Amino acid sequence: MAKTRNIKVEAISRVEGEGGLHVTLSDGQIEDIKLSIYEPPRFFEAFLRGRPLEEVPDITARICGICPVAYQMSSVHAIEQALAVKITPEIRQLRRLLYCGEWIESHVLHMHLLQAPDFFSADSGIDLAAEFPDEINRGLRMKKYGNELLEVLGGRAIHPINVRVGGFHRAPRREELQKLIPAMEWGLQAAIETTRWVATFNYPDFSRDYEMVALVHPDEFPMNEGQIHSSSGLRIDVEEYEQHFQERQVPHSTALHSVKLDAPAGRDCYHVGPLARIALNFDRLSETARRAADEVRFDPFTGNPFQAIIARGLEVIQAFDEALQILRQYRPCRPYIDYDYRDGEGCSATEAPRGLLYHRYQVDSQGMVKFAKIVPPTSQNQMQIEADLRHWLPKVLVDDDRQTAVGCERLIRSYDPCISCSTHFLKLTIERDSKERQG
Amino acid sequence: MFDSPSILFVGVGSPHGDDRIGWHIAEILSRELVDQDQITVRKAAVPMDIVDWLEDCDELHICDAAESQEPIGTVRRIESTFGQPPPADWLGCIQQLHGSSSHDFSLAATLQLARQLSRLPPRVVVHAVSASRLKEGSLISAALQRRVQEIASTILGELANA
Repeated sequence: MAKTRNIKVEAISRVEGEGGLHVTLSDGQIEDIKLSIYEPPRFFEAFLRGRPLEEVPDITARICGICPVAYQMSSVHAIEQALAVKITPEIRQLRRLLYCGEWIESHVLHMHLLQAPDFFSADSGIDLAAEFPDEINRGLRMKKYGNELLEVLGGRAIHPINVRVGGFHRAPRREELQKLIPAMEWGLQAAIETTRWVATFNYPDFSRDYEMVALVHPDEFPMNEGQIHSSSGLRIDVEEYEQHFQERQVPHSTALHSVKLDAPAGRDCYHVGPLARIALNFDRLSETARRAADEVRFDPFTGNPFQAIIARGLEVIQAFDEALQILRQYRPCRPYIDYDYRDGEGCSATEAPRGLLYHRYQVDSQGMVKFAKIVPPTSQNQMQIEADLRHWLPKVLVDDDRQTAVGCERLIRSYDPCISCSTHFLKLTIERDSKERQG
Repeated sequence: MFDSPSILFVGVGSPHGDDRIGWHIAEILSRELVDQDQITVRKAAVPMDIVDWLEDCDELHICDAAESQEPIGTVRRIESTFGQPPPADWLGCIQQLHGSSSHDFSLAATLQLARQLSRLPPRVVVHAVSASRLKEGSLISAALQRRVQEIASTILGELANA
C-alpha cells in the first residue's frame, strides 16, 4: 500500500499577500502540488458595479500597494474605449512616464530586498545589506527616484490620485519634471551597474519550455498598449483576450487560475512578466538596455525563471531611459479629454511589473459601471508556478521540510507574485509517507 | 551657536480603522508646525518609505498603531539613541506594531534595514499607539478618536523641546 508524506509551507515570506503550498508524496514520488491562496477574495469586480465610472481608477488602485498604476492604467484605458475617448499623444506619454516610475520602484524592491537574498542564502534583505551595503543603498536610491516620478505625476507614490478617465486631473509643470532629469540620469547608470551585479549571481541549472505571453507593440517596449502575442505564435487583439484565455475556479485556492484555451489540458498554463516581455519584445528594448543584455550575455529566450531578476534589471534600464526621453521633451499640455456618458463596453491590457493585466468594463448612459472583469498577472502565472514546482521540487526535496520549503519559496519568489492583488500567498504542507521518513 | 536638529516625524498608517492613527497625528502636526522649518512631517502608507526620507535627519519620530493588551489609545514610547544600546525589547516592541507590511517590510524590518545601512539618525523615537479596530474599511474607533488630540499634543510638546 502506497504511503504518503505531506509537506506544508505554512507561509511564504518576502511576497505580497498570503498563501500556502501543499505537496503530497506517494512512495517518494510527487503525487500532487497545490499552491493555495487563502487571503479572502476581495470582490473588487462586484463592488465596482453600480458605481460612477470616475471612481474606478481610484478604487482599482487599492487592489495593490505595489502596482497601483497598472490597475489605474488598465482601468482608464478600458473605460476610455467604452466611452470612445481618444487621449492625446501628450497624455499617453505622461501615462508611460507614470508607468516607468512604477516599474522602477517595484522591480528595484524585488531585485534587491526580495529575490537577491536567495542567491546568498541570506534570510532577508536586511542580512544581505550587511554583505552588500553599497548595492542595497544603490537600490534604495533607485527606488526613491521611481517613487519621486510617481509623486510628481500621481500626486503621491502609494495609490496615486492624479489619474482620471480621459487623462490626469493636473498636468505637472515643466520645471517639476525637469528637475528630475539628474536623478534619472544617475538612475540609468545605477540600473546598468545593478544588472551587471545580478548577472554575476549563481543561477540554478533549471529551465522550462514556457508559453510566454505579453503585449507586443510595433514601435515601443510594451507598457500600456499593443497586441497580445505568445511564443507559440498567438497574435490577437486585446478584445479577443477572453476567447483565448479563461479564469477557472480551483477547490484549493480562493484565487482563480487562468488557462490558455487552445492548449491541450496539462499544457494550458502560460508565463507572463518580465521574461515574457523581453522574449517577445527584445528588439524594442532601448539601445542601452539591449547593449547591457549583450554585455551580461543574457539569453532573451531563457526559460530559467530565476533569471527573471536579470530581465527586471533590463526593464529598469528601459524605464530610466524612457523616462529621461519623456522628461527632456515634456511640454505642459491640457491634462484631460472631456467625454460624454454612453452605453458602451471596453477592455484593455497593460503590462504591470508582474505581467499582463486585463480589465473589461461595461458602462451605461448615466456614467455608471454595469460590469467589471479584472484578470491580474499572478492568477495568470499561478498554474505555471505549480507546473514549475513539479519539476523543481525533486531538486530541493530533502527530509527537512523547512529546507524543502525554502527551496520552493525561492522559485515562487522569482515570479514576484502579488498574492493579495491576485485577490491573494504561502504555507507549505508536504505529505510524506512514513517509510520514506524512516529512510 | 548650534543649529537646531533636523527632525522628521512620520505617521505610518492606512485608511483602515485605528490604523489611521499615524496619519491623523501627522495631519494635526502638519497644521501646528507649519512655521517650523526644522521639523518635517510626512505620512507613510508603507514603512519602507521612511528609508527614502532619512537624509540629513538628526532625529526620527514615528507614530504607528500597535496591537497590544493595553487600553485603546495608550502610547508606548520606544526610544533608541546613538551610542547607547537600544532597550532590550526595542525591536520586540516595534514588532508589535501594526502587523506586517507589503512584501514583509514591516516597520521593524525597515528600521533594522536602515540601521544595517547606517542610515538611522542618532535618535529614533517610536510612539506606538494601542489600537483595536484594524479591520479593512472600518472607521477609527470612538475610543481612539477621543484620544487623538491629546496624543498629538504630547508629541508636539516633545518635538518642541527637542
